[in-house]
Amino acid sequence: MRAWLGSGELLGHAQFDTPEETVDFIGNVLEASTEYSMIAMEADGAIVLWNQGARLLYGYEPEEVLGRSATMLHVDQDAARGLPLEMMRAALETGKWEGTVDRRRRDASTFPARVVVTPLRGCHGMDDGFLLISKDISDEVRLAQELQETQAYTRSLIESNIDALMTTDPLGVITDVNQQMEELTGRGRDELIGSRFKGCFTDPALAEDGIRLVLQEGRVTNYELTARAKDGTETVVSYNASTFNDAGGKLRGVFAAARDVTAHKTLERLLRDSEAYNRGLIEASVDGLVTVSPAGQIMDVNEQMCRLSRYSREDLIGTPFAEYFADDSRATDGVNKTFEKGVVTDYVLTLRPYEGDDVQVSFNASVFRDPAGEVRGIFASARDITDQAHLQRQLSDERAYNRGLIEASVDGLITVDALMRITDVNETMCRMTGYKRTELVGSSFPDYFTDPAEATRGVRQTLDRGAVTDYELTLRNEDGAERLVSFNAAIFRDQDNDVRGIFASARDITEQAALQSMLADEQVYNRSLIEASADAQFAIAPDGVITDVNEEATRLTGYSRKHLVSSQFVDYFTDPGLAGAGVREALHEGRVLGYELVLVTRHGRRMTVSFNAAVFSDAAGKRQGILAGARDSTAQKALEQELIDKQSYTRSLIESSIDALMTTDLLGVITDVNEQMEQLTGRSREELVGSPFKAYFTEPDRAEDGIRLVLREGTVTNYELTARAKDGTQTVVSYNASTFHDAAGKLQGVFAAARDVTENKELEAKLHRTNVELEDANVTKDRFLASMSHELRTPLNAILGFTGTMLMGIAGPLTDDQEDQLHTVEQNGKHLLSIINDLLDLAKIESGKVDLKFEAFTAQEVVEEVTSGLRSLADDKDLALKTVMPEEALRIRSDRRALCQILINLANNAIKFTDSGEVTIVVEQVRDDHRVLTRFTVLDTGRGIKPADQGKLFAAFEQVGVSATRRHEGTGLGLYISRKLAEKIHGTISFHSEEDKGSEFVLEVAE
Amino acid sequence: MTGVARILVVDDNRDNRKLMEYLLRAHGYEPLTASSGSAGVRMAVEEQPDLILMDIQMPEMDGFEAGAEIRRRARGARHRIVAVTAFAMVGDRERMQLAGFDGYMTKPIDPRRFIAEIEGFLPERSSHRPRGER
Repeated sequence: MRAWLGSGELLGHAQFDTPEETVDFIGNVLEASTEYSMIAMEADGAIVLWNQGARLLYGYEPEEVLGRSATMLHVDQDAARGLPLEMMRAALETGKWEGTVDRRRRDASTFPARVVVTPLRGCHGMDDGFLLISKDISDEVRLAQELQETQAYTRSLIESNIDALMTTDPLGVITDVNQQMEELTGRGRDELIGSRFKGCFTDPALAEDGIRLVLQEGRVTNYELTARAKDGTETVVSYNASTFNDAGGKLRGVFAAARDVTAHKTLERLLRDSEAYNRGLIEASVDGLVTVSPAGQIMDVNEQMCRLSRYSREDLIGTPFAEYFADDSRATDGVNKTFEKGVVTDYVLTLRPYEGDDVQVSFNASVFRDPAGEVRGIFASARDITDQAHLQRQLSDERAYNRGLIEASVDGLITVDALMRITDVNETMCRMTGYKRTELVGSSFPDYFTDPAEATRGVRQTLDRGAVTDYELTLRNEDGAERLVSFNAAIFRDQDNDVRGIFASARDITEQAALQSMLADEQVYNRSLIEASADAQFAIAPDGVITDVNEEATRLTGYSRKHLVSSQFVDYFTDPGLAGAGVREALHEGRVLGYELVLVTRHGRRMTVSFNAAVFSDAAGKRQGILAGARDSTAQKALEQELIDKQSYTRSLIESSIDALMTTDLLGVITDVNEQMEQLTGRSREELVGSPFKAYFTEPDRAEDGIRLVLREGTVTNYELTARAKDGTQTVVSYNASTFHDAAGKLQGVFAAARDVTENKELEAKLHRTNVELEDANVTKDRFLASMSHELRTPLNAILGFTGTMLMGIAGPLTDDQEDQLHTVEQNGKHLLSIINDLLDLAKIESGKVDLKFEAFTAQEVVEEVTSGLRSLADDKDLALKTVMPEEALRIRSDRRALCQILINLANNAIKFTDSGEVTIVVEQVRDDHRVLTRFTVLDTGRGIKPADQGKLFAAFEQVGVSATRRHEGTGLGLYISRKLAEKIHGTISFHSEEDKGSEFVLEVAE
Repeated sequence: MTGVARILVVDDNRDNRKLMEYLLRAHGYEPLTASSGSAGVRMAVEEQPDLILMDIQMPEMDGFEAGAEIRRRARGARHRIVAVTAFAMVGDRERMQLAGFDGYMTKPIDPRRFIAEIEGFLPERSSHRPRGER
């Protein structure tokens, strides 16, 4: 049965002298061929040869199979459908049967195998037979399947992402997109792929710059662009993008994730509008913060920066920023770059603290401007990345991990002698190389490879070590095509145990290598996909165990990747129950959006993170776990909260007003109202907002004029309008309104507060009526006083008149008694007249009907007038009436008549109560604390006033020192009236008196 | 026409007319009296007195009206009209001046000063002065 091997069919050109040598050689060949199984069968399929490879592959010992039918190596189904016979028939007919067949091992397990069946010609009396060479290709099948799964994973990863994702080639042509990207652009996947990335944005040049920046920097974060959808919808998106490479490190394109930040932008703008909002404050973070002036000097630092640098704040401020770094020129470059570009991210510098080890810090810096847009300096945040750098190294090690799953192949067989000459090849080898056997044999082995030196080295290595496995070389065949082959080789010796050459099996692994490289690519791609996301990404198994995280996740949590992977996801949150519920929900619903959890970092910091999660499935659609993207929404939360606070503050401010408030836009359309406004108009907020303001008033044109007036003047006060409610109720309101502006000073609309003045109006009308009534009453009273005066005086005319005529003797001589009695009548008549006069004056004063007319005149004029009027009275009593006045005119402004009356009263009294001597009126100007006063002093040399009487001097109807026998005229109302009048002209009356020496009455009036 | 001044007293109050008539006559003047505004106007136009003492508050035609009517009918003649009234409150003097009266005397009159005041209103004609008095 060995005779067929000696037929020269396989090794026809080997130089063996005897059949025995040949047999030995075959033995060696068989020993070297452990990677594949070679089975020789009789024409009927009975196994006649069973090599080492077959033993390893199928698990049978030769004695177990020799003579048995090879059908036993087939799976039942194949055997049942007659495959074994078919294979042999085909081999006989066409010279070869080749295909992939499921094979069964001794232990009944099965595997896919590549099988070649070739007929063996009869020789030395042997019947025809077959040679069956098989190779386990289960690894290949597994790889292919794995690749398929990976692709599905990638796809679901892409699709599960909340962000719009896409990949472009290095030229910016879109190579892949997800559904979100289709939504963002309003274009179909087919439309997008192959189109240019920049075409989707309002500013294509900026988009293109973005791509260039990614290619240049390898990564770009928060690159903002405005996407324009097909229907014109514009969406502000923030791009995080990174390049991705193939396994060989060759640039394949850009992976970009776009996040719709329109909402965020809006929020930001709203907040800016709400107040002149200081970004720097909001940026307050756990990172070290530093502001640097255009001159490169530190302007300000936060506490964290002090901690990082171990310098005090005072030390740092005002000193050059670059001085604190190991490479100060690089620090300076960073500063310059920031000023140049406006922003610099992930700029790594080595900080040299005051004491202790250097610290690797990564700076994100941007310029900040004053409200006028002038660059004021740099705002830089420094992150300690000493740990992170370490982590990154670890990660790259992982990436470099090579799976190394390479399978031996039996496709080509070749023998090479110690001089590198090919001594024999098989047909497959001929096919692989494209050369004929005759051409190959005798030629130099290394010449067939792209790297002959490497081939030479491989041969030498085999000679040195006795065997090599998986030695890969790239074969260049006749037509220039290259294929990667993996060699397993072993030396073979002659009878004397001398090395005769090497036997090598070459397996074409081009296809497999391609598959593998694709798989590696996919993995790298996935990795970059995950890493490119600005969000912290967690892959979580259905049981809640974290299976993978990205760099951002380690940064967010403060834990290393090693710590995170295999730990329970829920353990990182304040509310594990809620976290668990989120995971379950994602698994159940397929997707979870904006799921908020409070993360506790390694450093104990709590931050609110918003999760978007989606399930990912394997190729078969089985749910493998969820991919959760976490966004630190603390800052956004704070923004939101601040805005909500602000809004609720404004709201409560509006609602708490007792007035009806509303805002309108520039056209007078209502944009907001409070409850009072709803009540005023009898309409709901929903009805009011968006409707024209003027519609709710009885005079719409006047209402509109009001708005116009506000817009023109900026403010309007007490603009009266009559509101008409739904039920017809009219309310008179008084508007105060002003315009309001946004933070940028742009006119936004009108803010108007309406106060219900219906009641006011009514009150006003009532007041008016009362006033009229009062006036009427006053007129009546005046008339009454006038007629009282008239009617009281009239009878006195006859009484005093005829008494006078009798006393004058006109009517004839009188007896002494008659004269005395008539005098009494006359005196009492005159007294009655005085009382009437004073009472009427008083009535007038007290009813406020004294019309005061303030005018300018001199004090001297008044005093002259008073003294001239009283001179006769003084002369009658032989009293000297004197005045002491300054030369220069003393100008005063007062009511002349009232002033005269007071002075007359005072001087009259002085004359009345002085029997001998003089009455003097002194005029002078005096100053009190803050005014200039004109002082009139009336001095007399009379009998004075007893201290006991001084207290009641100014009381009505008191006449000091008057006994039963009246010696003095007067009603006792004079001083009372004088004081009242003095009050009316803002003056004061005081006095000083000593009994039997005289009195001094002082009137002081202001200016 | 005698040389003695003729003085018309217009007053609705009989006692007041009596008092003034008595005083004027006692001092040698020739008093004329009218008990109403309209009668005063008629008398003034007919008699052309040298001085008219006009009460203000009178029924039907008051002193203001009567004074104005006298001036209206005077046709160039210049009557001297003095208001003699119990309106003696603040502002009344101005009221009378504004109404065009030549003088203002308040009631009750002082009989001792009355004639002296009357003389002040009479024209500077000795013939008008009473004989032998003062």
